[in-house]
Amino acid sequence: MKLIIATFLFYVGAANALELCQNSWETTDREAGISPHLKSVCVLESTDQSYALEVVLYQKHCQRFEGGAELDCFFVRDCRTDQDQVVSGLTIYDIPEYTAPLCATQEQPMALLDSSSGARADASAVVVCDSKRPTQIKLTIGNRELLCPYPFDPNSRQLDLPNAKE
Amino acid sequence: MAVRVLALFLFFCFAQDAWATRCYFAGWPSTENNQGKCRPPWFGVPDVTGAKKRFTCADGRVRCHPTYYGPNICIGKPGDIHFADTNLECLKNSPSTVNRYRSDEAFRRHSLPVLGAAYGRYCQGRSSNLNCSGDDPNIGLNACQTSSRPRESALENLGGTMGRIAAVAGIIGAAGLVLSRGSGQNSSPDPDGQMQGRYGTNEGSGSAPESSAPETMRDLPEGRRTATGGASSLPRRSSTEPVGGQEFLDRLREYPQNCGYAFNNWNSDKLRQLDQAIESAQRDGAIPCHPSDCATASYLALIERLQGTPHAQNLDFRRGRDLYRRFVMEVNSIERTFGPSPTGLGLGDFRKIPSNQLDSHLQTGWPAPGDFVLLNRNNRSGHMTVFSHFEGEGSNRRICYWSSNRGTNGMGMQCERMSTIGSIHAGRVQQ
Repeated sequence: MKLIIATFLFYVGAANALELCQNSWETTDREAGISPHLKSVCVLESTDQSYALEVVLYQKHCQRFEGGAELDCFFVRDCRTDQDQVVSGLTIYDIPEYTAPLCATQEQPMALLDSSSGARADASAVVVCDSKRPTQIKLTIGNRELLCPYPFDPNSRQLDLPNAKE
Repeated sequence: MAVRVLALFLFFCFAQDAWATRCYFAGWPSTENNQGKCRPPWFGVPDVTGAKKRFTCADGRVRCHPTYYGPNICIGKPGDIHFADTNLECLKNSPSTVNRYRSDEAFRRHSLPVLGAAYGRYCQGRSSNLNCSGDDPNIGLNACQTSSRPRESALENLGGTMGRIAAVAGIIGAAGLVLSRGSGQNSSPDPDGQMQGRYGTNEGSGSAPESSAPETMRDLPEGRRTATGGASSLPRRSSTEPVGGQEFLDRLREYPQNCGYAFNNWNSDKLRQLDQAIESAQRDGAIPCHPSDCATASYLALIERLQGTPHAQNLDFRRGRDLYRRFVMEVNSIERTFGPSPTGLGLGDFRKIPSNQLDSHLQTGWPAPGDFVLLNRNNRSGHMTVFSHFEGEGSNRRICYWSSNRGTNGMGMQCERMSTIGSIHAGRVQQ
């Protein structure tokens, strides 16, 4: 019975978080013409379910600079009920040439999204490195954390939702 | 003792340039000679790349700067026009500029350093027609009474004798530093090693023929392998005064246009042209016409912006070196270039500005004209630029910048809608 309830709550929570992120970015993604190529690969939701961080994989259409080759890339963005306040972080190109510098300063992991980028004060997404290579993206909201294994698998999604743990 | 004698010798060699006063020759930035005359901008610059062409019209006469005088305004011949009042001559040949200077306040404010003194002399000779000391105080005061020396060097701004003493001490110190470091600086091993990865923005292109920086740089004379000038064989910079703000943007407008936007298909010839452009930017020379992308064009601008600042003493500007890699190749380029150590190189300050927070940042002075701004578009393409200004309001607000753009077929000014931009990263050189 507990398993059934837990499973039910997980799906409810997952639906809430994904809906929150989808609603937050639907218009922007559509206007930018990128919706069909986005894959949500990792989501961390706040305990009050009003805020979430999402790692998004954007396949084959990122351009480092205008006119450049189209590459895979990923980025972290936040999701809020107030859609006008959502922010998005650095675009990271999913090839070693561009991911290697993420681990240039071991003592200070690079933030992909934090308050300096406009995210909520208690939220951040930082790169976790091992042997100067990124191995995880750590999402934090308050005292909640989610480690998203890198490189990302576009066919699976890491979710960490409050309801799923009850 | 020998070092001191040599330092004094170098001081006398360089002192004149250190105090050189900026001026405008037919609208082109230049410096005054010993007699206070404005030298032609091509003075002392070897024309190895044909860059002098931009100073001349098709018929061989001197070309007035098109930004200020409009297109196709030509005066005299280069051999005849040396040291003449070229700005006045250009004005006389450009009635539209005279009218615009009188009627367009924004243009007048923007071009005052270039046109102000010449307009004063022009309207003094034609006061009955122009009434330039009459009803419009901006024209009468700013134009007619502007000093014939539109801009002074930073050293002169230090003020009187104390400023000169301080300047002399600084130059002797710098000369001593050059001597004490000797030629070892030029021959020291490259701390950054070979350029990593592919060049710049030729992402994923199988045809992009990367040649490592050291390989290309081996073609250069040994004396050119330093960014510090001093003992280098390069022509010395015309002024120790760094440029910023609107003046900086004015300089960028002088960069050659319609030279092509290249994000792919880099080959050895194009890379050599880029290397020549990097050298020219270091010595404040004319930038040769060459294909560029937004990152390499902005990199040239960064080099130029850094000249005359203390940062320039310690930087290696060559392609493939640390500064280049941070600014051109890395995704977090603005923070990695301008931000504090250990993440950044410490060249100044930076801000990450979500578009929805732009107004609050503007109130704190970010971004400002001349800042280096990376546009992060919602469609996940980036664009590295030098910020100029915003125009329009609300959903029609547009950001205007200088960069190398597809839309301008190379380097030039361009505006685009802010509504398609998710955030901007702004970096500012600080001394």
